[in-house]
Amino acid sequence: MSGLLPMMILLPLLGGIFLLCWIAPQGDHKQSRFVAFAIAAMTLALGLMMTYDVVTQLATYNQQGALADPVTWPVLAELRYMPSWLAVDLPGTGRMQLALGVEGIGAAMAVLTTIVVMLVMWMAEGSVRQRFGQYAGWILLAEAGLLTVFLSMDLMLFYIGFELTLIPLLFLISGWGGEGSTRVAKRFVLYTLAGGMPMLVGLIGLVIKYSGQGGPTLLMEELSRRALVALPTETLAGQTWIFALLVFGLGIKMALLPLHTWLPETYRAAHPTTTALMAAVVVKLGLFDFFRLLLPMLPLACREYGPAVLGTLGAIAIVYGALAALAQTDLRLLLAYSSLSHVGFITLGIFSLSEEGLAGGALQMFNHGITTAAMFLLAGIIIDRRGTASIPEMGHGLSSVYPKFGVLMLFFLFAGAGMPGLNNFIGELLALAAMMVRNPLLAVIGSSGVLLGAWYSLKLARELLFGPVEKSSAKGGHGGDLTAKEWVPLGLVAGMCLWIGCYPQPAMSLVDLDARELAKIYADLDRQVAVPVANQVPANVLEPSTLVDRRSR
Amino acid sequence: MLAQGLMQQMVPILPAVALAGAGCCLLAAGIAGMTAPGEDSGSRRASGWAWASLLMIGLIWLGWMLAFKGSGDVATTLFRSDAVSRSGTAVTLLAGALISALSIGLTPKRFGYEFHAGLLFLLAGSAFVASAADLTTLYLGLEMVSIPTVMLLSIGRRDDAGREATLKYFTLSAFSSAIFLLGASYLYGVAGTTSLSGIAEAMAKEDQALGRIALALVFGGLAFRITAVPFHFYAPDVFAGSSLPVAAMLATVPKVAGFLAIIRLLGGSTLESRLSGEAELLLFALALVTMTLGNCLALAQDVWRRLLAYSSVAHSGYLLLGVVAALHLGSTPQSILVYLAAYVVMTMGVFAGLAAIQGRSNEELRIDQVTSLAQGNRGLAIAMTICLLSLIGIPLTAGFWAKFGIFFSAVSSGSPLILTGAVVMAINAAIAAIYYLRIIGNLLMSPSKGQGSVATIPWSAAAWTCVACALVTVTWFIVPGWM
Repeated sequence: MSGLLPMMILLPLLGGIFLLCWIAPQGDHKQSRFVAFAIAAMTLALGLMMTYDVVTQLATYNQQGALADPVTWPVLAELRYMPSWLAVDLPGTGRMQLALGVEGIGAAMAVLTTIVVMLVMWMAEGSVRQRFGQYAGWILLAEAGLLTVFLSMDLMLFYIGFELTLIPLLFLISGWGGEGSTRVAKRFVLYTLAGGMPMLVGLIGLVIKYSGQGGPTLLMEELSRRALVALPTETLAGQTWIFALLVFGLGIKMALLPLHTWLPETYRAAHPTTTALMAAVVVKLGLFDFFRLLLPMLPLACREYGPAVLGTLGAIAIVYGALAALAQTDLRLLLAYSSLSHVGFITLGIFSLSEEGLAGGALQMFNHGITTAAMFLLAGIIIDRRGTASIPEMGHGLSSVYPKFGVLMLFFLFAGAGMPGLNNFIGELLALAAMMVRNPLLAVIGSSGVLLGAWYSLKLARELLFGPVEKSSAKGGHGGDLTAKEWVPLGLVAGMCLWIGCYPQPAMSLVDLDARELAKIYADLDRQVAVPVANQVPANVLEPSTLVDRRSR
Repeated sequence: MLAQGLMQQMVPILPAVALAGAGCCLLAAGIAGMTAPGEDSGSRRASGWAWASLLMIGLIWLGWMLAFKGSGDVATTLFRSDAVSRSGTAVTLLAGALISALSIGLTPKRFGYEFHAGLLFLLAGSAFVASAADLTTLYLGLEMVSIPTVMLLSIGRRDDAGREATLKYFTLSAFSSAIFLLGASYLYGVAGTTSLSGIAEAMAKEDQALGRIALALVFGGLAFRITAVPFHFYAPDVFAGSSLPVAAMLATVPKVAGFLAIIRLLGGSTLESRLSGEAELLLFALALVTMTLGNCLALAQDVWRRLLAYSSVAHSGYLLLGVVAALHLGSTPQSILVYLAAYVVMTMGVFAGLAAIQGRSNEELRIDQVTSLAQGNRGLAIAMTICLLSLIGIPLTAGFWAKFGIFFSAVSSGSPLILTGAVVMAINAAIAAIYYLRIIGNLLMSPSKGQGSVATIPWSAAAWTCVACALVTVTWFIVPGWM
């Protein structure tokens, strides 16, 4: 048992409270900056340490060929934190153990959180002009909530983190946003609460459903184990209602298509650094929990409704988001819709329910996180410089006025459009290829989104970066090209995109084992039911080793 | 021997007797203090009475905890001491202590000691209900709650709105008592006994129409106390027409007493699943209508107290769902008692905060009139926000465990109907969040530029009560076992 995981949560939590209560009221910018950076950096360091541990540990698992107990997840016993005092006496259920733990996908998301928070904190220091101390405090509290979700191994801590992330976000959006941000913040919180409350009923349903084998438990590993044991006697109807409640809650958080209406306005009205955090990490809360809760615990419902309903919604989201992005003139709205479209790829990947798709979806969660955070931060900078968010009003030819900005913007646009050699390519390709096996129609619809994605990205590049330098664009706005403080961190992110794009093995190895274990459940199910779709295409045609040689270990 | 036997018989009602005795002491002291009834005794002396009542409630609690906490269940013909009576009495005492604390600066200057004596009497009534084992004692307790309430209403506020509220409450309370009594007489007719356990047995044995009518009438009478929907109309008017401490009392004590009475009628320490069927359906319908209508009407309110009145209606609906679930399971009513405890603390916190803002004024404050509290008194703003978040049911507050408990028993009941009820409740909780967040948004809004300086709000007793409630709320989240 190691104290690394609780440290990762407590550090930003206590740091955030300290900032909000002691440092920020003094109004000393330098002091707040020091504390905020120090805590974000320490958390990042802990996150990297954790990732290193996870990667090395997963490598040993892989060398051994299989896990000792194939039913449990690849949760790293070395990092699990489950002291006996971390339990809760619930009214009516007795003492229930809580736990923190980490496996591959959780580690990827946790380290993404720490990276994005560090990045956001760094950029916010320049762009949040008032009450930076408070802003940083709320960001750290949000980080603590997010990490609680990614690192919890029981339903209670998970739900607490899931709901508590809302409160910092409420203050971040309404306190530092632009016009109408209070209204938008309230709407975001209401949407999420409207999903969160039914989700709580669903989670309780999960606990009670699997309480037959040795009393109720909140531990996710135990619940997943019981779900597999009970699988032969399970009925679809018994899983459907829990599935529906959970999907409703998670769907709102991840902006699943008909529930997405909070997203564009929130991204537009919030401060760009806040938006970067939300688009990069908060939306992933919903997606992540498909891996943690739905796929292992409700396999029948996931198999029945996942590809058919959620996959379809994902495919529609890809096209709808891309088309809507094409029509936008506000840079922030364009990015918001493009983010919606990208999340669709992740959904497609997950609900292909195969190893490649799950791994691609998980990888894409990380990739989309860093790319979209960088895009929103860049957008924030240029909106600040030009004093407007409207693309036509910003003027043409900005790349000659701000050359460094132009290079980075173009780079991330290409990354977002899924250019080979950059990070998004690999995830999207795996997701689409896997969906081709499960449901070719959806894959075809999804692929058209790649084209549309390239279209709006290049259109944006043409309108904003190239073309004749107009007089208005040459002068207007204040400040020059990116300062070193701005381009160095974004350049590092760009480097990371390139690295993952060219050499995806390390990132893949992080999510691979999880994906394989989850896919096994569905492969077994498919075999039992012998659905023709699964047998039409021989499995080895799309063997991912032909795409990426990630099995050479 | 005789004395010991008597003591044994007295155990279940000792806290109630002590409370009533304390009320008598207050009355005696007030008369001995040469304050003529109705004389303006000055605010200092008025707060003195509040301190005295707080102290007595505290002493009774302490003595009760020390002397009888460990004692086992005692059952006599009229009263019984079991888990329900212990928790019910504790919740009653908690509510009483909080009301006394919040009224320290707000006790009416005239009739100060009568006010607090009345408060102690009605707490005694609620404690009686908690340990009632017979229809007669149950009714006695319920009346001991409602009669002093009328007194408090008329003492607390002496203007037209106050008179209207008093009259409304009095007539409706008499009406509901009559309905309750009618139902009780039918129950007696069915069972041939007034003992609650005897009635439960008779009801379970014979499936007869008369029993159903009787139960419907009895629940109708109780629905008034808990402001369940067909009898909720008085709540907003009475809340708005009373002084704040009395409104806080109205939002909590009658509800506690009403739910304790329902629990007692349905079996006591474990709810009788044999009674399910019609009673379950009736309560289920009542629960859904109450929570939905309460929340929808609360959405439309602009005045603080009216909004809180409708929100208390909605919370009754949640509690009723808890009753239905526990009834279906035949389980202990623990989730209901936990919800009541959390509800008392968080509601009282909001009322205390409002009292701190409003002081002695009885003006009907609109929600948008209370803004930028964070600048006026930061601690109070945080405490009120915590209490409001608890009313929504967000983690880190006791309100979360309260809702969790009800969801848990509803889901584990395994009945699709009750499960649907839980989902409806979840949606309702989200609707409720709309208006609670509106309040929070107004509280924490920064002052508009033209407004100039913000009035600071002093640290009154009510403000401290609000902070105490917020602390209790958070502590209960961390250690739910203390609830």
